[in-house]
Amino acid sequence: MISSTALAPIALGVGIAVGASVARLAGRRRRRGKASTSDRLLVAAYEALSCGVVVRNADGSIVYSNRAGRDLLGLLGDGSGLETPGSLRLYTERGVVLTADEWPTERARRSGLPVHGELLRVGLGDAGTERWILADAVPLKSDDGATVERTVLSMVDVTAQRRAEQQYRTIVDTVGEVIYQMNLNGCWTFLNPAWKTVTGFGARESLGSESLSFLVPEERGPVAAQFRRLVHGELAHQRVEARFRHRDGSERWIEIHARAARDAAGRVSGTSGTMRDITDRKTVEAAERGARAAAEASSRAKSEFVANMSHEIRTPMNGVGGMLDLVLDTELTSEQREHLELAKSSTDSLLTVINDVLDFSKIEAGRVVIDVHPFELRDNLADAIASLRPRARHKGLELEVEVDADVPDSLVGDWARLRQVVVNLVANAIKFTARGGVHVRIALHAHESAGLALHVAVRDTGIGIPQEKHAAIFEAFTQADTSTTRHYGGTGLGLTIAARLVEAMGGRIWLESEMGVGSTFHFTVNCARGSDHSATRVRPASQPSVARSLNVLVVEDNAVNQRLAVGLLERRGHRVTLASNGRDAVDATARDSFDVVLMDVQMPVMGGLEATTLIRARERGSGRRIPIIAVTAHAMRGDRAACLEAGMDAYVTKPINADELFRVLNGVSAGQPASARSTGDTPDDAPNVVPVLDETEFLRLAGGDPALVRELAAIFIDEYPRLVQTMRGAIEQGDMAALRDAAHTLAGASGSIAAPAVRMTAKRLEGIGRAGAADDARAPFVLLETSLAALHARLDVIARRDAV
Amino acid sequence: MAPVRVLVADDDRVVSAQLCGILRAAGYSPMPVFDSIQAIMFAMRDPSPNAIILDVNMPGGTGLETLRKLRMSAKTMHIPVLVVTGGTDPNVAETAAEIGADDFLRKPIEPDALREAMVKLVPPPPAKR
Repeated sequence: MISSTALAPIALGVGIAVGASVARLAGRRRRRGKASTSDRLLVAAYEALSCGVVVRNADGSIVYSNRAGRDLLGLLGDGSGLETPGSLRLYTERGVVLTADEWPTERARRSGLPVHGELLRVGLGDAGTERWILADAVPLKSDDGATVERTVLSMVDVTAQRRAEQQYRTIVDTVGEVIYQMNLNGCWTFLNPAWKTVTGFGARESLGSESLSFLVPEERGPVAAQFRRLVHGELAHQRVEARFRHRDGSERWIEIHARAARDAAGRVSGTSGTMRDITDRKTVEAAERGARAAAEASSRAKSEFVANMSHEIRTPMNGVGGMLDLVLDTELTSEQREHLELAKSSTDSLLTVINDVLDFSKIEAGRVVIDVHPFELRDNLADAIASLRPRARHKGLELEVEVDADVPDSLVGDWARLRQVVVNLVANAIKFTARGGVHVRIALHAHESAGLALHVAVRDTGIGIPQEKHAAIFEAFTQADTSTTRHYGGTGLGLTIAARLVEAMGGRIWLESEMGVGSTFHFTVNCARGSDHSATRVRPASQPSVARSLNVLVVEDNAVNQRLAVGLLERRGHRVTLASNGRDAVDATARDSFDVVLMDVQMPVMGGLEATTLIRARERGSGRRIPIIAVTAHAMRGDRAACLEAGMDAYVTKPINADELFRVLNGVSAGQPASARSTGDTPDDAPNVVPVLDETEFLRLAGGDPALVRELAAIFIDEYPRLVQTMRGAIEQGDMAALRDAAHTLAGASGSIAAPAVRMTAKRLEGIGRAGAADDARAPFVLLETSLAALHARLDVIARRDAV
Repeated sequence: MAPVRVLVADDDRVVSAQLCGILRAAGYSPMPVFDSIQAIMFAMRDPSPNAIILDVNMPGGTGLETLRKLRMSAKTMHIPVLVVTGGTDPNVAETAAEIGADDFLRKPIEPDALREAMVKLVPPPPAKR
């Protein structure tokens, strides 16, 4: 913009000087009729001025004008005989024509006061020649000061500046980017019209408002901090991406380029810069992320399915194995024994393969939960290695175990997982070693006050692994060479599983190997130091059988499982009574007295939980309490809690494992509740009975308006990926408050569209966010994604439904 | 007939759309905003809304804080406010009433309950023929 305040004093000064000298000139001319040399010099100087000067008499006639003045006003004639052309018009800035009375000279004459800094347009009847001027008018009073004899008009031609300004204004008004200025208080002081296109708010109505209030609330703090750095001079330039709230409620991503703005004195007066809508780019990025997440979710869903098959596959396999054990315990011909032992070892290797595949799929489904308990390292390690000794002996290999003296014996960690990794690596080492031996060493890797890390090294004298395969060996479906699969058998998943488990326990795994010399697998795991007290509490009973003969009620509907339990128990000298459902169990316990009840949880007619509740209700006040051991199918966490709540004392997992059963029986019959830990399934709480979407209810919540149903479905589809994204990030970073808030919003949104499955899981995640650990959220989060995928499909159909 | 304007402040766009949809069908003119600061900004603006629906859990300050601020300003203290919540805190209703809420609903919002509550706060304009 042209600064009239800057130019006006100059024009005014020139005007006064010219006015004074012209008056002098005129006076001399009257007296002597001839101009002196100095007067001529003065006139020449005026002629040379680029500023137009016109001197008028009180009657409006022109006394004098210099060249610039003549040019600007198109004055006719020269010297003192000048006339204004009839086509000459002066206009205001806005184009209103000035009457003769309104000319600045006329106003100065009437008022006797100078007029200055007026921006005017001069027209000579031809639009192309219009000029912009900054005009000053000075009155020249008579000697007695009573009347104004003359007026002097001085004019600065500002047409070029004006054009440049117009050009800039056009650019500012039409450019797609927002151009802004804000003051030190963060309030808008300038916004171009693009602001309205980008945010929906008018530029004028937004001026003076706090700029941060247009951001979504989460962004305000960080953006304010970035602008502070700019204003404090820490940075010359800032590029910020932030979400604005459009007037229509939608969120828009905006990229802001900002610089510190300075006043004339060089002090920072705020910031200025540009903003542009990058929502499309962000949407594409989000869609790509979403597609990737969907692909991952679908892959997880498949793994989930396989993991869910776990007990379906293992149960019959264990049935076969258990029955073979029972038969092998009887008198057999040597040929029968040989055949049965072959059958038994085939069953065992098949189970190993199945377990590998299932473990792997569970890991892929993100369902590995690290379960931390106190344990004693040396005894447990010896037990674990003992199971591998026959294999080593069979191949004529040495199998040595060494635990450094400074490794504490009482530890807290996930022994089941640690054991799995050790057994896996040792079994692998035995498999690939023909001569020599396998050496296991456990050392202290690092320790702090809070915890410690173990370093486990499994060294073999086997075939070795070529250097180029070292990285790939921990990937899925890889053996050093596909031909090794044929030669040595196995799924090729063992090391992958080991690597993922180590990762889950906060450690790392690596490999040193030399071809033909052998390999050493190293891994570290984090543990905590345990107290001796807590360690002994869960120490497995070393006695494999119960001291005295017990009267056991087995409640089980499955015939194979019945036989297995009866076989196991009777062989140890216990007496067994059978009941095939909860109702029979309640009756049996009323009739006879038992030392212990083995209760299946899922049974027809009456389940184990209900039966237990009835038995406990009857016992109330009698002073008796029969120990009840739950037999659960998948050792779900929820199951465990439900069992204990119903009044059961302990639980074992199906298929029944003899060692586990007797350990628990020992504990229970000795009067202390014990629980066996499952090494198999992890929690699985799929709410498969909860509907994904209740359309009738949805329509009702939308006030019976199908159009609103479609709108809500579309908005939900639009909104939830952002929430899921937030929740995923929150779980990864352990930001429980963020998890809680996002889950809360999702629960609210899914409630409004009657989507019970998503709502239920979101509520659960909200609860975890309120009082829980990020790790607890992982399993429900996978579930949430699965339910959301199903919901998305349903809503998509609804949102696309045509209006009737 | 002048429109009856209802400021709907809920950060959840699904719930917001549901509320606005039901209100619109009932003859109101809903104006959605998505956080507390915008709620206050629009409540202060002329002409003031005829009623305000406030969600308890909103970014930029909770609905209850917003309500407290609205009740402190002469310009907004008379505007009837309906508080909604998706939370399970049993004391919210009482707290909201103490601060000056005129009515209270839990989510998910039942359309009938919403219409009933709104009619009590400010009746909708008669339906156009």
